[in-house]
Amino acid sequence: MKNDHEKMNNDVSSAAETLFDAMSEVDDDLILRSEILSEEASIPADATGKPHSTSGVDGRSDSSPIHAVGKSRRHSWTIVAGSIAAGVLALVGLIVLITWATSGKGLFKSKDDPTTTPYSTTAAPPATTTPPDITTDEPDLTTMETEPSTTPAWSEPSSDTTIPMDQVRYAPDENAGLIPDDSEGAGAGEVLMPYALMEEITKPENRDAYFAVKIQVCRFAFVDEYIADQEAIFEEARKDPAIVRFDEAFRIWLNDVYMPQFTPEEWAAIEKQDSTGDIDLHEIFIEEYWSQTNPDDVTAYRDAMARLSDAEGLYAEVTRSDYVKDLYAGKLESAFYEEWDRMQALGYHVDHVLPAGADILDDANLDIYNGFTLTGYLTGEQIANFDIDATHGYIITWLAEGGSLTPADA
Amino acid sequence: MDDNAIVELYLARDENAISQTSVKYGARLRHISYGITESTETSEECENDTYMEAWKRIPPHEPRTYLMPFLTRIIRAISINRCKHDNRLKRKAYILELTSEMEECIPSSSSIERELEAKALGESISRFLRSLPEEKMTIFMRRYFYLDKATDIAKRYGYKESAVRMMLLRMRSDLRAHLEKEGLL
Repeated sequence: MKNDHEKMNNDVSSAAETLFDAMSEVDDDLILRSEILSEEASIPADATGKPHSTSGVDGRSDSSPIHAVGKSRRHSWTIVAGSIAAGVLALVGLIVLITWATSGKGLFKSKDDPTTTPYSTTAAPPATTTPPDITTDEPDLTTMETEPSTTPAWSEPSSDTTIPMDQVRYAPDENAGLIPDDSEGAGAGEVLMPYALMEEITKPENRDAYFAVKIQVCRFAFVDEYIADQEAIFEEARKDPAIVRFDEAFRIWLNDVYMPQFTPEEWAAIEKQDSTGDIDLHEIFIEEYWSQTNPDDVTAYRDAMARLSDAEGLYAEVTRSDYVKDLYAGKLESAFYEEWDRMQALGYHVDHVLPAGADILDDANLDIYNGFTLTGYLTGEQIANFDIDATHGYIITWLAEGGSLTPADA
Repeated sequence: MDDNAIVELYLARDENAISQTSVKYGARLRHISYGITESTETSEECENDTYMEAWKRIPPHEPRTYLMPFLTRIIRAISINRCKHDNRLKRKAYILELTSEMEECIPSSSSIERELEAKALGESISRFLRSLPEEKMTIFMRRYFYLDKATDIAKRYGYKESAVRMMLLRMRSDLRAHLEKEGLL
């Protein structure tokens, strides 16, 4: 089907296309440098031209969230000085780590520790445990606000309010904290939460108490519109006049001309063969009757069926999350950051890192229908008066302490 | 064979120029094309088309000191066009997605004059890229020149994917400010 991508083309302005095409005109040395630097950062391609997998062979991509322990990158210069300094500081860090571990507190809160929270809410890294990367002259990602940039101030998790972790309210068990069915997500402007949570937040004593929650941000207008468009295209293809004409003619031929030739037993066998694909009654109709009386209609019918097949295939694609994610990943991500930023500005202590360590912004965890998941702490009052963006829907889950929250559970 | 000698072969209309180009740059060109088309067969076709295009362009071009970027530009354009015109929905969709990310670099109220040459824009983008730290410049190039996926960039540089997306988001916003400042938008 061309219509959907022509529409996509129309949605992408010519200015954006020009800018994208202009990337081909960047200076030669930038192309060369980017190629060389890319080679330094990865494994080179093999002789067939296929790239080797660049999956974290050194495990760097599996490190902690960037705002927790900073980054670990390779540099090709000042290795000796950097290594010595890093070694000294690593030794210091190791001593601190051993001290923390033996104190029973641990460096990261364990989800199995019943006295600890399921996830960290602090943005500041525990500096004494991580050797600073002194070999770099680039700004630390955790201090982006110091860059001379006009970028929006995407919020980092707030660290200016102390949450009394020993007083956080958890769901009595995992099931109590769930809504019965979240498969359809929440409609735009809707907030869904389990009854057990609703009961608790209405109690006066819980007004300022913190509840451990997961917030699923659902519904993105551009995704819904795109899916609705594909559905409309599919419906339109299904109702093509050539298909309608054919179906009517086929029905009449089948009932008045073809079927009367057979006994009931013979007809039952023919129907079974048609259902298993051993014969095709539609093709028999075309061959024995329609192509002789309506040859032009046959061509129109086949063309319409080809269009229907394309539309059906594309409609089936849009129900697969990966396809629409490919189309709209950038917009979804921007929408997420806007929403996260808005919640941070409201004083909601929420983060996009799940207790299991998975980052919801990783491609595998993004759900185009039920969007993104934030986890954190909200007071009873904040939940009761949850400030929404009317374009999104929200599902608030009340988390159980030490629960097995994983992205698959979202 | 060095680039100067290869270009001399082109200028002399010696067909050995293509085989020498293939020997020196073939694997790299296929790699670039594969990153865009995700098809071995298509990338090989794009590679061959690139040699023919280079044959047409040399002369008048004489990329003695910039043969690799010269060829890279050609194969990038050919590969993107193949994705757009072949009926391969996912690659076409991916390229459209990257193009739509460029919308964020353009203020909603502005439009690029049709007469504005891509070269002038390219020069401005180059100035912007030079202002960036090398790694960020490379990440931007990997995304919008080589059309790498964010996951692949993250693996290459040891970042989490979310960090790469955040970097790209900020760089797109910075590019918008840069283009406004240069009066191109």
